[in-house]
Amino acid sequence: MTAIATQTPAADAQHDPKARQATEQFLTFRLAGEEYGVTILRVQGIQGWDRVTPIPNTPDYILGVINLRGAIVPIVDLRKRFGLAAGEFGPTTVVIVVKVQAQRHDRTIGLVVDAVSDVCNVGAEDLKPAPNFGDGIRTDFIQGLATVEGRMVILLDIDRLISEGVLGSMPGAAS
Amino acid sequence: MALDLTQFHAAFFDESFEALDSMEAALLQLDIGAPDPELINTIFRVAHSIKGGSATFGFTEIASFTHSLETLLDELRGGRMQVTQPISDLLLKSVDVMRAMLRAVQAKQPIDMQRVADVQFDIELAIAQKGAPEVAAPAAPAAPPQAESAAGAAAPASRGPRQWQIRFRPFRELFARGNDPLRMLSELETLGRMSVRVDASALPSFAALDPEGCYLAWDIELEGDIEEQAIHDVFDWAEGDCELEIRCVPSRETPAAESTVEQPAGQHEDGAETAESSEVTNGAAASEGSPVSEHAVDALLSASDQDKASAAPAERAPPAAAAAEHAEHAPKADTPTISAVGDSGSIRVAVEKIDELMNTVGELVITQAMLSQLGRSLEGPMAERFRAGLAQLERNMRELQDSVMRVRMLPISFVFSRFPRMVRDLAQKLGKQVELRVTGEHTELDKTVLEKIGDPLVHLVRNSIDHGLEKPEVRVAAGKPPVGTVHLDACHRGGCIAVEVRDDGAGLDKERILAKARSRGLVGPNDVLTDEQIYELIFLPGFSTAEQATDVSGRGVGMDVVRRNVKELGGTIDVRSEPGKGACFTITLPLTLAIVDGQTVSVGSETYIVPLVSIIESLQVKPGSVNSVAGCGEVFSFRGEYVPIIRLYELFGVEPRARELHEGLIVIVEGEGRRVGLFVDDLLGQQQVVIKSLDANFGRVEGISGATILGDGSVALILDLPGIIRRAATRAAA
Repeated sequence: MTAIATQTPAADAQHDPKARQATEQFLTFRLAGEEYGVTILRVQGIQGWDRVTPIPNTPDYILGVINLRGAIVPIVDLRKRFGLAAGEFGPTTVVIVVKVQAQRHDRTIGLVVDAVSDVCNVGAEDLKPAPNFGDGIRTDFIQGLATVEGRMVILLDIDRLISEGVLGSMPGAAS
Repeated sequence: MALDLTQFHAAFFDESFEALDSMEAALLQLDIGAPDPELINTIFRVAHSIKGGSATFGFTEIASFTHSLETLLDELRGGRMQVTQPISDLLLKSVDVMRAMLRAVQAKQPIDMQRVADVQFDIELAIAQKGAPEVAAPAAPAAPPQAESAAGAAAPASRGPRQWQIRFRPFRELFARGNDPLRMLSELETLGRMSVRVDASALPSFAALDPEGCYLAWDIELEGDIEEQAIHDVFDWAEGDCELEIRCVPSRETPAAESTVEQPAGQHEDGAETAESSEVTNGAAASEGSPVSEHAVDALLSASDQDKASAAPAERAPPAAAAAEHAEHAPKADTPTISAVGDSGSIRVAVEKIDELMNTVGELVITQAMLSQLGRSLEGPMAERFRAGLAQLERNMRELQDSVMRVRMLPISFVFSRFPRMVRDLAQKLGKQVELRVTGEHTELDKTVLEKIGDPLVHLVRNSIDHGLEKPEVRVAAGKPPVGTVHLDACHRGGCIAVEVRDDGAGLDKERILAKARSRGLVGPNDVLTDEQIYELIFLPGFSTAEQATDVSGRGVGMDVVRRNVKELGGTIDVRSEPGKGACFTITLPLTLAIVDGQTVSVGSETYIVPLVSIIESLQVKPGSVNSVAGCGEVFSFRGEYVPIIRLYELFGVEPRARELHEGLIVIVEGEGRRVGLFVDDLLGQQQVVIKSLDANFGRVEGISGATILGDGSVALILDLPGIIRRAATRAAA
């Protein structure tokens, strides 16, 4: 498992308008040829893909749960979540463990991605809002698009992505 | 530097609340007209303890109120007033007021003084109305003690025994002048009955302490036929070296009750939980040699075992037992109820600390399971010894786990104790005669379970009295005694705790329930239901509310909520009823929520945990013994009963190794009174597993009650059998 040192300054930069002006660091990863990023302040760790324990009667993008240092952590397959073509799990497949701020309390969740690529700095001026694709295509979990070294990176708002998209729609979760 | 008293506040509140509970319990046992003097003593002592404690901590409102109450109780104790129904009600009301005051102070909120004043006025009125010649005491019952004594001082000479209040505050140089407080105190004791309270508030920190200085002061109550001069004589040599106040208050102690004010009692009277509560003897002895250090230690240890002489039993006894024990011990040790904790040598520990310990033990259990698994696959000359060591480790782990678990266990009397009062009030309100019987109150339960079982139980008892028990005239007409019985019972039943609420009322009204269900379309007009199925209806959500809204008698006011609460604790609730004879609700609860004894089963590549308590039997079926019903369900005959089979791999969408029933195993399990056979590939083994919630990072999943971490570090899901049965039923229906 590779540990990523999170940077203490500019913590909660997302919510501080002043800090927003400064650059924010994102961990970028590849998913079916596209490049995505999550703010590094939320990343708890990265670990290799290992067997999960499937949970019955949950959406297919919930692969199951793993034991992360004694805690039970659900694993979300982002490919399936985004409706991308299912890919083979290879040697570069990793789980990015992130902290999500849900309504009531923080949750720890693992995201399965094809490969981790980089840590990049994104200045506020580099951040473009997600384009409107029209009805039917949801973009609300996209924080924005950024250009890093000539490549486009889709920056995810994981709080939106997880709390609204994943856990809220689980059958039986409400009962 | 004065001792920081705030650190003792939590203990004071805890113990005061407990003391109030025991006071309430004693009040409820009090017979109108012929009260047991021991009970009155108990009540008196509680009031006195709280008064002392609150005065020490500066909660003057509480002290003032309890003082009035104490005055009233003293009248009762001396037999100058009779315990009547209004008095009993008034005393109960005072308990409520005191509780409210303590809560307010604890939460640092303003006290509802209006309510306090109302009740206090009633108390004073009651005292004033008793019509006895002694008017001095009630003249100023609300006033602080000084005022009261001043009022009482008017007529001291008229009586033989008098009560003296002596405030003895030696100057620091007392020892240097060759005086010894201990000697004076023991001399005073020869004059009459004495109770002493030591005031250590002037005690400096240890570093600032002058070992030859006297920092202590004493408040002495002396009773007996004593001349003022005799007291002055005792302090003759020290009078220039101390502040001495001698006041006379009218004696209110009657000979019958005097034993309670003897010296051992004095040690506790003013709040055994405070720093000042150090034993008089210790305090006095301390003043001889190294006066303060010993006392300081005492003060620090005040929470622990103070009084070895008083042989109070360890457990906080339930009301009945408490009274009996007080009767036994009162003459020699006279332990007030409030100090029961200190006497039993127990300490208060924050729940978080225990939870932390539990978690660590849980992790240890996982590690131990991992090692055991490793040990089994080990070969070689050392393997045997390694395994022996592992076996020892496993035994020790189990013991450790049990001990830690026991720390969290509390007797269910903590919950039961609130019922006598509730039953009494409710019976009075509804015009019914109810006797509450409580058995098995020593049964111990995990604290978390205990906290959450209270409300469902209250609901059940309320229901029993409201809907189950009939009015006296109806009962008599039905040939039953006019007094209805509600029986609360708790007992261990095979790894579980069963709590029963039983009444001898009319029982559930089957017809009415069925009619209601039919009218709401819950049951088809031609469906024939067994009694059990009808009783099950009351647990349906919404069913109850309709009953309540139309004000039709029939239980089920919020029974769905009761069931939900019980289910959240991993328990079940069943109901039995016999028309005309009564109903019985049984709540079955797991002993603890943290660890479960599980049977690991395998289905395909997955491992699941089935709670051992719900397993009845595991067996292999012969190919011919399974019948299919209507082409969609499978049943097989088990002990003369047809049990449906749930194929776990189908339900969970797992690729199994065994698809034919005879290739795998059937685990007969029970959930919510229904039996099913779970079809699994294989049984793996039994082990204790630590329950981890899926909820924390994920959410609730039907059919899964949680997860655990196996010895190899992988996650296994714990099956929730009622959920699985429900799920299978909806699948079959779809």
